[in-house]
Amino acid sequence: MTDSNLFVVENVSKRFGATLANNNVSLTIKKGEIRGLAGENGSGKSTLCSIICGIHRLDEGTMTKWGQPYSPASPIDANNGGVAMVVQELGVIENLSVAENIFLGKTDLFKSRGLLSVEQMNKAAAHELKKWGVDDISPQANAGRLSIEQRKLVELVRALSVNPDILILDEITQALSHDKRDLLYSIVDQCIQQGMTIIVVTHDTHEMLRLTDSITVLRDGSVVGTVESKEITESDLKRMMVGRELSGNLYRGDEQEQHHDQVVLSVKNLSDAKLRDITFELRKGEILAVCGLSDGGTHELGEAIFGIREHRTGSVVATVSGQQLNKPLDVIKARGAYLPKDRDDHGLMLNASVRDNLLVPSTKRLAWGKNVLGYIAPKKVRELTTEAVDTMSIKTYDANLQKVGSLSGGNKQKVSLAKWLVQNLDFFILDCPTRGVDVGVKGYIYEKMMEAKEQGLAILMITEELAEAIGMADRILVLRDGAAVKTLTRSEGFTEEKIVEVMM
Amino acid sequence: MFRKIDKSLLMSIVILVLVVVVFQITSKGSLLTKRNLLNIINQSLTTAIAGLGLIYVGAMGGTNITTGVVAAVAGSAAAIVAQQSFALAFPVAILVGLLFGLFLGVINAVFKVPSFMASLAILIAGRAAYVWYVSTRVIFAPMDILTLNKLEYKLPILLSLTVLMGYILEYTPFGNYVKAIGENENAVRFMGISVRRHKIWAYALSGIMFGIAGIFLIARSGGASHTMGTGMEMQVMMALFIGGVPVQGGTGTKIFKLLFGAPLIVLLENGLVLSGSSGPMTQLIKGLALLAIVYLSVRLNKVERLRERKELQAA
Repeated sequence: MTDSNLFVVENVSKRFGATLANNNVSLTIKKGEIRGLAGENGSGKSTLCSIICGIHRLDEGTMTKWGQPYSPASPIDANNGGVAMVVQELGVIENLSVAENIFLGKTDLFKSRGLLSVEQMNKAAAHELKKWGVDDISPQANAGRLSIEQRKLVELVRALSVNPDILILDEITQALSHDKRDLLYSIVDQCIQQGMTIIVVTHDTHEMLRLTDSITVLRDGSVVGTVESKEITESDLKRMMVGRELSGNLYRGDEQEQHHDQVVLSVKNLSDAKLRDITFELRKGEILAVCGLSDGGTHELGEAIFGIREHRTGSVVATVSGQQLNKPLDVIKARGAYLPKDRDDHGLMLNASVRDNLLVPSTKRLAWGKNVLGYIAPKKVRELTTEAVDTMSIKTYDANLQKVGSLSGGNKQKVSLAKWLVQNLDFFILDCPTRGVDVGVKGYIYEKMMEAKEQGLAILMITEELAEAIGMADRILVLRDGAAVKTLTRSEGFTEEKIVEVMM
Repeated sequence: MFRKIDKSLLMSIVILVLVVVVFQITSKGSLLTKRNLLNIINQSLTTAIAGLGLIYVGAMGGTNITTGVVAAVAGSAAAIVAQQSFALAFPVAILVGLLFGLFLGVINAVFKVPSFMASLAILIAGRAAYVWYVSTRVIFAPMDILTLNKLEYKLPILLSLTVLMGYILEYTPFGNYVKAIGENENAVRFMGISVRRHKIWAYALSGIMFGIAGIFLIARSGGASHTMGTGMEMQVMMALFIGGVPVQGGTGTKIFKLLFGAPLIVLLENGLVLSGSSGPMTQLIKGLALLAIVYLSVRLNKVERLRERKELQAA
C-alpha cells in the first residue's frame, strides 16, 4: 500500500483554552474505507472532524492526503481539496429554496449576463438530488418547509455537490428515522462505489458497526485504539468508549411487562391531518413505546395528545380525574408533561440559567395560593433547583449562573427531563428522550425512567431507535401512515424484525 | 464573588458616576445642588413610572411605543373627570391605559402583528385623534391633580409602584412567564403555559402604567396640549436600555436597572443644559451617548461570553 492511497493524521493536537480537545491523535485511513469515529460526548471526535474539514486549525501535528501535505485554512479550502462534511447542527437556511441551499456560496456557477439563472440552478439541483436518489424533494421547495429529515438530506446533497473524495458525516442519522436511514445507507454505498472515503461519527453503536469497515475509538481527546468493525461486539465497543464496565445492560433486564391495571391516559379515535383514528390506553407504571417510519405520525401523535396540533378530533382523557385534555394547559393540570423532540428550540431557554429553566414549569405550584400573582419564596426556588440538579446529577458549576446553552448535550437533556421529573407527574410523553446524548447519559436516562416507572409514572416514549423501544418498553405501539397498526407486548418477545415488518 | 455582580448593572453604575463627575465639572458645581437633585428626581419620576410598565413588554422581547399618546389621553381624561371628582382620576387613567394595552396586546398576540408596527400604528392614529380632540377644547388640571406634582406625593407613589411591579416581575409566576417568553416563546408553549394570555396581560400592564404616568404628566404641565407626551416613548426606552435591561428581553430583565436608567437619562439632559449646551446640541449628544452605551453593552456581553467559555474549558 503506497502513501498515495492513504489519508494520514499524525500527532495532531488541538487546545481550546485549558482543555486539550485532541491530544496527539494519529490515524490512517485507506482510500475507499468507511471509518467510524466513536467516543462519548467531549471525547474529541467533533474537534478532529472540524480540523480535517478546515473549521479549526490544528495546533500541532500534520495531515497527509493521498501522499500530499494537507492543511486546509477554511472549509472552502477543504472543499477545494476534496473534503466535505455534513455537520451535526447547522441545518439549512430557511426561506431559501432547496436549490439555493445546495449551491450556497457557489451560485456564481449559474451566472448568465450578470444575473443568476434560477432555472439553470434548479435544473442542476434536481440533477444532484436525483443522482443520490433523493427524489421526493423539489429544488424549488422552501427549505424551511422541509422536515428535519429532508433538511438533513439536503445538507448531505450539498456536501456531495462539491464532488469530495473524503466525506465526513457527523451525527447525521440522529435526525433520521428508519426508512430515511436506509436511504442514507444506500447513498453511502453509492459514494463508496465511486471511490470516496467516508468518516462517520454516530452515537448509535449498532449503526456504527453496521455501516463502517473500521472504527477508531477516542476518549478524552486521545485515540484508545482502532478496531475492525467485523471483529468487535457492540458491548466491547461501548466498553472501549466509556473506559469502564457499563454496569450490566443499558436497558432493563426483565422480559415481562410490568405495570398497574389502572388506566392513566385514554386516547380514543384521535385523528387529524396526519393521524388516523388512533385508540389506545396508557396504564400506571407502564412504558409504552411508539415506533414508526418517518411519515408514520409518531411525533405528531405526541403533539396531538399534548394538544398543540390543530383540528384534532377524537378524545384524550386523563382517566384519574376524568378530565378531557384539549390543550397543553389541560395536560399540565392533569399532571402530565411533554418532552419535545427539538430540545434547543422547543424545550429549553438556552440563554437563561439552569435554575430559570428548571423553575418556570413549576412556578405556579410553588406560588402562594397557586396563583399567577402569588408569591414564590426564594427558599422554595433554591430547594427546587437543588432537588432537580441532584435527582438528575446535572453537571453545572453554578445552577444560578450557568446558562443552559453552555451545557453539553447530555446535560441539556437532563435539564429538560429534570424540570418535569421534580413535579409529581401521572404521565409523561417523551419524544426521543435520548436524542443526541452519549452512551453514559443514555444509560442514566433509562435508569431514571425505570425509577419513575416503578413509582407509578406512565410513560409514552416516542422513539426512532428500535433498540431503545425493544430495550425499555412494556408495550410497543406501531404506527403506519398515521394509523395504529399493531401493539406488541414485552412477554411476546420483541424483535426488530417483528416491528419492522408491521412498520413498512 | 466578582461573578455575582451583574455586568450590565456595573456598567450603569460606572456610567452614572462618570456622567455625574463630568457634569459636576462642566456645570461648575451646579449639578450637585440640593435643588437640582430634587429637580432631577422629580423629572425622572414620570419616566420611571412608565418604564415600570414597559419593562414587562421589554422582558418579552416586544416593544410598546404608545407611551406618549396613552399618557396624554389618560392624563387628559383624568383631568376632565377630576373636575367632578378627584377619586375617579386614577381609576379613569388606569382604565384608559388598560384599554389601550389590551388592544395592542390582542393585535400582537392574537393577530400576530409585530409589536413595534402595531404600537406605531396606534401611536399615529391615537395622536391624531387626541390632537383633534384637544384642539377645540381647553383642558386644565384641577387643583387636586396639580398637588400631585409635589415630590412628597410622587415619590411614595413611585416607590410603592416599584415594589409592586418588582414583586410581580421577580417573585410571581406571571413575571417568570413573561421573562420566559422573551427567552424562548416556543419552550413556554411546550410547558403548557398560554403565551397568548400572558402576552396580552403584559401589554395591558404597560398600558396601565402609561396611564398612571399620564396623571403625573398633566400634573406637571397643568393642562393638556396637543404635544403632551410626545417623545416620551423614546425617553422611557432609553431609560430601560441605559439601565442595562436587555434589549432582547429575557431573564436579565430587572426592575432596579430601570431605577438607575431613569435618573441617568434625565441627568444626562439636565447636566448638558446646566453646562450651557443648546437644545439641538443636547439632543445630538444624547443620541451619541445612547449609541455609545448600546455599543458598550454589546461589547460587554461578548467579553462575558468569552470569559464564560474559557471558564468552562478550564472546569
